[in-house]
Amino acid sequence: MSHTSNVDHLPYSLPIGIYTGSGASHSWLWFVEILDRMGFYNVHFVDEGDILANALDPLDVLLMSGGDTFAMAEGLGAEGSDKLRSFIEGGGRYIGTCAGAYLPLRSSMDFLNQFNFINVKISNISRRLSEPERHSFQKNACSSYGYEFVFHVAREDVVLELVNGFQADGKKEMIAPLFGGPSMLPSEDIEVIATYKGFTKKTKFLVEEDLAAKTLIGNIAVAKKSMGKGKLYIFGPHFEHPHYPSCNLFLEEIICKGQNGRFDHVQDVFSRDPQNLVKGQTLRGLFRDLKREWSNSRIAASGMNDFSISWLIGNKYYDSEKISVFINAVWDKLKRLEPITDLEVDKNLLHRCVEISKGITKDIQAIRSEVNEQGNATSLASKLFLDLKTLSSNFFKLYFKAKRDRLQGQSLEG
Amino acid sequence: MEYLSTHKIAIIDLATSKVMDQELDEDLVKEKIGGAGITTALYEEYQGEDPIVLGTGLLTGTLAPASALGMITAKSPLTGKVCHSPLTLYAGLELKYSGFDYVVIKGKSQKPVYLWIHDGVADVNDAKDVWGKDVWSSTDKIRDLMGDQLIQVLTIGKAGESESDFAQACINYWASGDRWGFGKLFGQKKLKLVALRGMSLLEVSDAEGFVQQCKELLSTLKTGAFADKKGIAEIAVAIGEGDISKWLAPLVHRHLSCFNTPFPTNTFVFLDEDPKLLRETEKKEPGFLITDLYGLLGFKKLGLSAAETCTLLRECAKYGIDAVAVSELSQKAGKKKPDEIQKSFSGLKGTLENIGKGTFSPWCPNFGLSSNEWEKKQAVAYIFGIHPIFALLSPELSEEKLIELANLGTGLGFTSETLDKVIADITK
Repeated sequence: MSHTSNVDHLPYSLPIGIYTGSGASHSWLWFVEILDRMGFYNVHFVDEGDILANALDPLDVLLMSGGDTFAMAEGLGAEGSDKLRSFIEGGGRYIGTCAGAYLPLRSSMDFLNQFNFINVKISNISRRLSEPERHSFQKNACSSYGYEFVFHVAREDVVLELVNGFQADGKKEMIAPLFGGPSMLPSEDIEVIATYKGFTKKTKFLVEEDLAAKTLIGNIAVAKKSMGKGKLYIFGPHFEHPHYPSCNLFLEEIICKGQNGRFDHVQDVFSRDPQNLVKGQTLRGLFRDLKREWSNSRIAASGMNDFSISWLIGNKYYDSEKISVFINAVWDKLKRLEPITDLEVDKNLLHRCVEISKGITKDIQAIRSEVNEQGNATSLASKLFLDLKTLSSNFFKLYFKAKRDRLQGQSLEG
Repeated sequence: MEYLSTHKIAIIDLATSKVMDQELDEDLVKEKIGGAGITTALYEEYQGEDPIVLGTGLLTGTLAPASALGMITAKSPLTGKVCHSPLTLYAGLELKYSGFDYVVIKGKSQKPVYLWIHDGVADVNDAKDVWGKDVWSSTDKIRDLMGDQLIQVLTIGKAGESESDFAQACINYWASGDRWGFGKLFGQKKLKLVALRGMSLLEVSDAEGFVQQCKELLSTLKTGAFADKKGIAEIAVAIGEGDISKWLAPLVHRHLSCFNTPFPTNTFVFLDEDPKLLRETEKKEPGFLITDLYGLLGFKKLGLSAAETCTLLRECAKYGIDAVAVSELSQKAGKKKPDEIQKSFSGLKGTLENIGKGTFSPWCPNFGLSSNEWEKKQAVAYIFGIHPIFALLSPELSEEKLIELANLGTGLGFTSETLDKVIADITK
């Protein structure tokens, strides 16, 4: 596969959903960043409630990024699984990275067993380890899986080999970032796109290199499966990481491939209420309110950077520095919207962002106090990350909507 | 203004609590370069409203060696002249990155307020939780409230609140170079403090050239006269006040530089803890950072021990009063006992002889320069944002080199004629 020019045709109109519901951690923000860079502006944010309310129907692509697979499965439940299946079989493309790749794999575990879309086994599960090897993992390098555990042997750069005629930038090798994603064993149920080939100087080993090689090398990193009229693409590594442009281009092609002919129209799939738009001085005032609160959050979060603490929320560890990742992602987009003078945005959504942001600053300060007093801040952190996700997805809804509106305006003027 | 700038000036009216953002006009920068050149222009523009202007030099907060300096420009209650006081440590840096290159604070508030300047937002907030507190408690309170220990705080203590002529606007917990009674101005305006924090970015016109030039300058400075020296005692030697290092040595814990300044001009002493302690102290604050040589020398000349002197300096900083004024007036009154001197803070009155005669704070020694030559070199430092003491210690940081750096950074084509004109304007 090589980068082609079909994305030059108004890619912003392709309806794409990013999952931000239960279990989604912070890596969906990377999808936001690369879609924005690539010019995809018809982007929507869906949680499990939206999926149950048929929010997938107008979408061409659903992006499921990293996080806690168990929480995703539990949140979506059997009904959510049915919705996903219908979406794919009806012609949608499911693109899952890391936790989003584990989700559709065959499993006998509660909740996960409702998503047996792909019959493939993983190599990074403890039943494939010897007894001494089982004890070589630290807590943050594995996740409980019934009596077993899923383990991770390396982080950051790994070398992939593209197979079955796939290419990236005309090459058969590429470097991709691995942060806990699956390594899959061969199966007739999937078409292999890439396998793990090796490591680089930037690979961070979580175990002895030999065990890392035994677990990864030669096994499957990226694969696809056809289901009805649609396809599932599953990526062990995070191809959406914005620091890996070759991976991003590869994803871009998959996102565009097989699109349902919607390129020809600027089509807004979600409702719009002209009475609820805010602009001019009022908008600038609201932006200022959001910026004030968000800056307070940003500064309070940066004050926690020396703490180096993490909280186990569900089955996943969340580092305190991830707070700043959410905040800076929104900050960056806020700064881009701020100078646009003729902007119109959804008033209710913006008000909601301002209100949530006030709570986030207080949450961060409460966590800081709790940590200073040697207390357990897990429940506070759990609430904080939920609020960060809610605010971020609401703000990005507003951001992409504004971008679509501006392009639509230009196209009408043109 | 595209480069080495966050583009904005905040105009804050304390009478109405209204804040207005104003673009930093590139023509103003071309004409006045920056720092004291522009704070003076802004002061003149708003002089009818008795403004306090905070500002940064053109190079403040960059890789340029010693680019630590910000400044307060206002009319001194002591001299009646428009003067500049240095903002050292990390205060100039945080102001630069707060999203505003300059802040004009005009009018008077009816009730105590503080300013929270962050990420391009300037907030006027109720100061009821900090008014009445000393400098140290105020800084602690505001940092805890905002959740970040990197916040830089320009604050007054009880001296400023009671509008003492000798009140200082202190920096965090320490004495500043405010010899002009600007702390009194803060108090008159019911302005308890200004808290600064920012995480914005600066664009550089010729980034590679700028970095290269900074590296070369730094290499040259490392071979200069002060390359292997550190601490405030070295400055005493350099200005002919004798060797105070043995007197101070039993208390010295470490020396501390202001942002990106190769020579550490500040010395930290331990007063409540053994200075030889190698592990982390369990005391919340075991000592004091000496930032002002003349305060130190003033108490020493009263015959006080180093421990008594530094303890008094700490009390001056907590109260927010200029230690130089306290020591001079104590000498005149014949007070030589520390507790007696400390009791005199409240209601301290008198006429000072050792008072700044020019525009720039006499906190920076003259190192044997003539008054005109010192004033000119200070002007250059305050225009570009270079640490005033380091600027005098380092002839390598010449006007030509600074103009070259400014041009690499901004692409605006400053000339020595432009600089001469700005110097003349601000020293007239």
